[in-house]
Amino acid sequence: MTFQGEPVARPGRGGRSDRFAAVVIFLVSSLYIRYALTFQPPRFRSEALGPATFPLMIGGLMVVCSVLLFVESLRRAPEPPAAWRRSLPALALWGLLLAYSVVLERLGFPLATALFLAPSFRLLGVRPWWRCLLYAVAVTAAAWYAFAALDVRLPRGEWWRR
Amino acid sequence: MSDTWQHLLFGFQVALRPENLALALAGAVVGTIVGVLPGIGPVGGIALLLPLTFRLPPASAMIMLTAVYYGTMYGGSTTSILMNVPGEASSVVTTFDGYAMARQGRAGPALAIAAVGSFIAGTLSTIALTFFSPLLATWGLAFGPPEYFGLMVFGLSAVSSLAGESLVKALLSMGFGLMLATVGTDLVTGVPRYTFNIPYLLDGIDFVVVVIGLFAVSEVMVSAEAAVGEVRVPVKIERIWLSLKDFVQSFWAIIRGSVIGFYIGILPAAGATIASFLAYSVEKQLARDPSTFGRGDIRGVAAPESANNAAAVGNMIPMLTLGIPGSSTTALMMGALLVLNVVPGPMLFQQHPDVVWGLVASMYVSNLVLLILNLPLVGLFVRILYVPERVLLPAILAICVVGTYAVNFSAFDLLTMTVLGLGAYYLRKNDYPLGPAVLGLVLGDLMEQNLRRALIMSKGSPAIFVARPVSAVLLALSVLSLCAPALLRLARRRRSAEAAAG
Repeated sequence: MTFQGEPVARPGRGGRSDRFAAVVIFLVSSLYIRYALTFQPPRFRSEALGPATFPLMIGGLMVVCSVLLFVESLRRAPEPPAAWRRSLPALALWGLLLAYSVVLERLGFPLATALFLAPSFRLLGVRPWWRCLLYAVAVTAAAWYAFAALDVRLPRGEWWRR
Repeated sequence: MSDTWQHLLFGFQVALRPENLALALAGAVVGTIVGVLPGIGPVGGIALLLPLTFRLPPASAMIMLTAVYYGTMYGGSTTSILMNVPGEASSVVTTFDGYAMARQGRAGPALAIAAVGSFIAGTLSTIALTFFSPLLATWGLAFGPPEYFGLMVFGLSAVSSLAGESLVKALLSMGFGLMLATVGTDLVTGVPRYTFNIPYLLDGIDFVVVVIGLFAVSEVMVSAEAAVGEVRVPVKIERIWLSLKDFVQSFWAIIRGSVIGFYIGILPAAGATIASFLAYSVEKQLARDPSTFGRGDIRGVAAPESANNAAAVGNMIPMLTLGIPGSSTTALMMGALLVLNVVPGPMLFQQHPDVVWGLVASMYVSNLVLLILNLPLVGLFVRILYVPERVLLPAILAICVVGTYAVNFSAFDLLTMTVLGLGAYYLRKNDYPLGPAVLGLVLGDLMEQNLRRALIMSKGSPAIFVARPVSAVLLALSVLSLCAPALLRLARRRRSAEAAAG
């Protein structure tokens, strides 16, 4: 049984990307274990379990599972070559979100939010441009007053005061 | 028994305080809206609303979150019926007969029976919870650290073994959550772990930041892919009303759905989804004419909707009494409690009776509030469905940013959220279930603490986990639940080989 929704499960794809993931997870878990080995417990206490033991258990589990994932991926068909293209809008939206997160404090909430929303609307298909701008300003203003009502202080930005 | 009555009475005094009642109402409204919103499911929605509750006292925060949780369940059935879009796995079954009814012009009765069924199921299972959970909590008091460790291992492995297509991916997702949980200063030895000399990480990554990134951001990204250029329109509805005939016809379906849902809900990992499928197939088998199912039979809406609400209540029992959440949603609620310094488990009933009993009482109240709210107001909530996803999704992302920022007023948290969002998007796209990750994140700390205490008890010998019967049984069950899928597959292959040979 496969369901849509919470655990999104669409079987039958992804041999190549699973293999890639297996390698990445193997490397990351190895680094995770390597870092755990540097944890020095304080001398004066003798605990049954130091700070490194539990992370080592998790790291071990991850290493074993990444190897299993690699083996499992060999049995799967590789995905069609252009499959990643479908993800482009989502990735572009993520790029905008990243930029938004970076500039939020500097530009302040109102400006940063409007500058994030307008191109995002455009990206997802709102036409024409003036409509994107109008929605962006409207949503920003609504959010600003809603959060002010909830007593959440959002940054106004450095340019505001000058 | 009389104790329970007294506790419950006390709980109602907490739940019916004007401010808590207002929070329950607000939570129910917001939850329903989030449930109806396309592009974000209940788990993402609850994650998004967590920051709202952190300034409240624990009991009020829990009351509001429960109302939100119930609200999202009600809202989810609305989109299943009107648009054939289940908001989450547990309302997939509702689309079979619900959407069929809507297309026959019977959207009103379908929505009404979903609301009435959910109310009856929710209330019945809350009654069961009221009397059952103190017993379980008393039983849980006898648990020591080895038993707790065993219980958590069992909870994690049961959830992983049932989640998604690949057990390896589920375990990797669980390990990812556990890894995130180890970031920060080790509470016992004071050693900083995985902090990379970044001062923000000394306290660990904030739970809210992680879950908004994992659930809300990634969910919006997945929806964005589908939303480009697509416009979905809901079926029109007339009056939301239920004839006596409809009610009588579905009455036993509601009762059976409640019982099935409640018992399935208590089991770890087997949550609302399995309950709703099971309730539906039971009704279909009991029906005199099963062919009406799938073509707009009202019992096909009543049974799964009752079952998933009852399961939602049943799910709360292991979380509250033993501290083991069995689903992503209850894991989120438990995470919220931990942030508020309230540790769920048997001690909760003694240390924070106001939280437990206020919560139980508010479950009764939320159910009633949602019934009263939903019958007349569904039409209003449905309006939200006319807002296109391409406008909603960026707005939801802006709320993710504000919600995350409001936790610590830190730009570092925003980056963490964004990066985790991209990671979770990759996981979703490649069929990794996210439930085990959030469970690992919530249980990681507690697991380590109990492992430590157990080993101190045994002076370092791991034999204690096998020597104590309860923990031995729990660990054996964990191994069994991890091996079960493989064993089943093997048995099936052998059977089909025999069939081919004979």
